[in-house]
Amino acid sequence: MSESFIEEKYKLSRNPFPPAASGIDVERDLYIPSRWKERIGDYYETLHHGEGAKVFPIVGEYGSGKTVLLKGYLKEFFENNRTKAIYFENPGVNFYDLANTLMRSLGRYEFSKALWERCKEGLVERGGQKRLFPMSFSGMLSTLKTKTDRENKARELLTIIKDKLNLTDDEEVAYKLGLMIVETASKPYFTYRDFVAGIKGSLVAEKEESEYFKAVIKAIIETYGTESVAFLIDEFEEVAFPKRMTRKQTYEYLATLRSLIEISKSEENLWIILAMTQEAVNATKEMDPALWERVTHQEEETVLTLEPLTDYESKELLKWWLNRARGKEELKEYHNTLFPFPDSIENVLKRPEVRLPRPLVRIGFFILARAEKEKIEAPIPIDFIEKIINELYPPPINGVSENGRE
Amino acid sequence: MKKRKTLWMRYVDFGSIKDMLHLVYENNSKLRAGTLEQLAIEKGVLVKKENGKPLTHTPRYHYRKVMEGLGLVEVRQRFYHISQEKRVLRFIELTDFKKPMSSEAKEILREIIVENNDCRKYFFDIFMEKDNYTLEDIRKEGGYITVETESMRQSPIEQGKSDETVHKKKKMGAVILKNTLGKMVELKTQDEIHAIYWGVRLWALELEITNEILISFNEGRIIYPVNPYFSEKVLINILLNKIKADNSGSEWTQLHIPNFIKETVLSTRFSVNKIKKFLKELKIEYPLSIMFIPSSTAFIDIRTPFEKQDSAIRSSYLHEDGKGYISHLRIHKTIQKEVLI
Repeated sequence: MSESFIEEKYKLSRNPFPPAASGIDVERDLYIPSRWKERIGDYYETLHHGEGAKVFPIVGEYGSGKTVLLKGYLKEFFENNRTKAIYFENPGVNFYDLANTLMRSLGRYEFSKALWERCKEGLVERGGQKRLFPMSFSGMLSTLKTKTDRENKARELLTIIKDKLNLTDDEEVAYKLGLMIVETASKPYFTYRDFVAGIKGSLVAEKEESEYFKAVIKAIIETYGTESVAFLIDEFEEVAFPKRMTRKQTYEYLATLRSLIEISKSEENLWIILAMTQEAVNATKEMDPALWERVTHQEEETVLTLEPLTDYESKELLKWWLNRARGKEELKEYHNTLFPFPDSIENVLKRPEVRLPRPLVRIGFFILARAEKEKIEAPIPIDFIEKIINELYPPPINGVSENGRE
Repeated sequence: MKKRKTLWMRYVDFGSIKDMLHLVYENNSKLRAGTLEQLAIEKGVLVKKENGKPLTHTPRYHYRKVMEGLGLVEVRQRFYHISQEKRVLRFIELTDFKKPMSSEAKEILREIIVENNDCRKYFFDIFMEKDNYTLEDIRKEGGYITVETESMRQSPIEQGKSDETVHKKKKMGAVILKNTLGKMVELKTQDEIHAIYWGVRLWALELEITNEILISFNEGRIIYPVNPYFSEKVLINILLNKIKADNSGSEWTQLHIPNFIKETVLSTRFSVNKIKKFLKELKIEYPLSIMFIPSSTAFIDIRTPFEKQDSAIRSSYLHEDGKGYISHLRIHKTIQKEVLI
């Protein structure tokens, strides 16, 4: 079989850049600039050993790499530090949105089962019976035929959750957690209504949302055998905006953020990483300056601002993507090279708005797609590249090329 | 003569006022209220711009009263006469029926408004410390004022309740206009609010005597007299000082555009549009050192619970076709050298 043009001329098995360059299916080991990693390492060390809220914001515009950083780097970073990391995308303004996302990401069956396993020993002791084969989770659920059976078991679990596992001091919170376990058979999936405090059948104690969250975080730590939990919250500000936010909703958004931060300050060992746009930072600062001070530890020492990549970083990012289409043995010699892009590509990447990860990936895709279509020989000429960049990201003066090319 | 109990100022289009004045001038002392209105409708002056239909009785009445209140015309024995005041005659000389007003004509109109006693008492006096002042004095010495509305005095909970019933509510609560020294005017009645807040305030804004910014609902609207002596050099110095004061350790300095505009207008009183134009031109001049950071309108709109305020809040952001609203400006520190060169 003859080689394709892209393989023969560009030494790539395919165009490795995704066309939309947003919502990339994030993998681990994505290219992350080392200065970002260093800053994160510093913040982790500072906050880990210090007192106060274990929270820091990641601030950047659209396409600056916030989501990639959360999913493709921080998740693994925290997991390597014995921390269960949970990614939230656009969690909503209310507490129940957050709880719903959290619990659904854990899975009702898995989480209830894990919690049941921790409670089981206590239950056996209390019953004074020894079983040859310990009762399984599904076995336990099958014994709960009636509502009375389930309520009795939930009460039994309440005592263990409260007194043995010490997940909470609050009886109602402990009872709700017990209820979550025993009702798994009749209702195997969570719905958001389960976390709307005050409504019938809710799994959250009314006006005890923070206590409930604390207990859940403790339960996650217990059941997953980790030291802490990290909430990676993406687009916290984009809080489901089909309609405008009223002042009351804005207040609720701040209240949710504030109660999370309070939890992260306590001994519950919760990390919160908030990815926000610049505008979200300014609005939060104005709406509640004291809250923002807590998030940034007063002097904004823990704000990771994602700025345009340097020339070197831009080229490294392009290489990372090109490497994805160089897995074949015969293409390996081109590994970690910019080919078929010219080595001087940075000369047309001077404008800061194109030196962000998303624009760079988009530019990479369109250069290769157009060059392949037009059968352009490698290395692809810089004029051709510049023309495409200017089409995708028109320079401020119409019709005049101004990319800082020397 | 029976003393008028209500205020005569209302929002009007000064292009139409000018055209009505020409109709009076051409038919001096021959028109009564009804015939003036009828003629203005026939000539396409007192008509709705969107569909050409005649204005209803109330706005027609207000157009006449504004002409009278500003002293452009006099009513003697129910007939309309052109004022013999020199400025009015000069204004007529400088303008033409159904043609745009020149800047010189607009300046005469500004002077007439600023010197009107009712407009001074309820609006322009708050900008000034002294009682005797001219348009030029306001431009040179006027301070800024803030607008406080009733909803700003409510708690978020009360606000939540009123959000639900806002469509039922027709009356607007008291509006307070106050300056930094505590001098204030409280507009309590609906008549005062319509005459001043939706009348004189908008005249001053449209004639560029004043300019306004609304950064957030909590701060309220800021109104300031426009300094017409715009200087790019002053703005460049403000930017350079911002860069110098930035100790973040980064090569980039980031500015929140509405905050930058607010700080700049409070110290210079330059027009918002001129500042925005300056920033856009700066980006064209230094494309490698200046970067615009867009924001979603949803997050800009979070700054106010009222949809009607959205456009006022958005107007302190830059807008670019195809990109949307720009909330921040990122400036590379090397611009300091480039600008000095």
